[in-house]
Amino acid sequence: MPSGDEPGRARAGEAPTSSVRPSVSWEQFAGEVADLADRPVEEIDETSRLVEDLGLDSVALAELVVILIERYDMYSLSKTLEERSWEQVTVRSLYDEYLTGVPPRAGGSSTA
Amino acid sequence: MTMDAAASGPSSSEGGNGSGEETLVQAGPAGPGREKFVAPSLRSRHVYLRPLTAQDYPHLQGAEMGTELMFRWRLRGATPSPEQWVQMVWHQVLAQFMVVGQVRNKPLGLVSVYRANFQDGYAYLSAARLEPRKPSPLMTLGVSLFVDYVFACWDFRKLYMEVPEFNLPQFASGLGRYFELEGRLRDHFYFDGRYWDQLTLAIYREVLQREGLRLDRGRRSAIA
Repeated sequence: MPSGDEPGRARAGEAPTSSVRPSVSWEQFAGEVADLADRPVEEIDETSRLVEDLGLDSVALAELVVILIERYDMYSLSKTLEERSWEQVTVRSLYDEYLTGVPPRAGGSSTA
Repeated sequence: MTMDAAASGPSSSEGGNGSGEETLVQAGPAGPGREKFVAPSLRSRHVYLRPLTAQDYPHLQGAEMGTELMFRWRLRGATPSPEQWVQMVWHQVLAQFMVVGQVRNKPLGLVSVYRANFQDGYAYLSAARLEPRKPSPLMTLGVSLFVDYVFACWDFRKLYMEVPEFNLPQFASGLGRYFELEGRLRDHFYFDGRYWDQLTLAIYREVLQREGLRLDRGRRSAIA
């Protein structure tokens, strides 16, 4: 992975909605996804969908899940993996979930 | 189908190797140089493996004959009798497990190792997701767990997967990292008006030890 930064050590990026959660910037978050998708980070924007636009398959999604839970402490993801659909999930909606701890609604539409 | 009623966490000893021992140490990646007995784990943080039983048959058969699996997997449109189907499920199988989610105990798929060749040190791996239309990271984690288990129990050098080329896009990002393309039978399968290649992929023990870490960091404490 590109940075290897721990969330607590990451430089502050866009203002998080939670005051207690150590934040990783949008740019860093998008960089993780870009690395898994094997695409330049410039191609990742808030409307990019993980499966439909970036082509993440089951292996890449598994790697993403491990990174988000182990490195980003996204426990909301851990609890909902079995019923979660990855179709129509945008990078932004996943980043918002990281910031707020609240899973996206069904369909994974962006809240941005 | 009958499933474990109790939710269980990664630390549970239930469903390990069936011994009921609570003192067993979970294995990391199989490899040389171990000095202590370490049982292979059937559990990771998000999924666990439990042996296939007759109670699983209706659900498994329903998925295999009622979803895209009917065409993507071994039946390829055929409808064997119930007796033939059961024989097919266990044909040449060395080990076989249902992949089950940890939180809801939801069966996710079936993993098998079959056609083992102990003289030459290889076997074949099969993995089928019960909901093949939906991309699922959990099934991939289950396959990773199972491959670890197989390499811990048997001294295989590599595991082959026979894959119709139309199935490869479901997990193609692992090509060249977790598995290699080692063979191609051109125009091997007929489906939907055309012929498709059959690919032979190989998972190498040493590659799994190196790259598998990325898939299951929660299970292996040695990972930074």
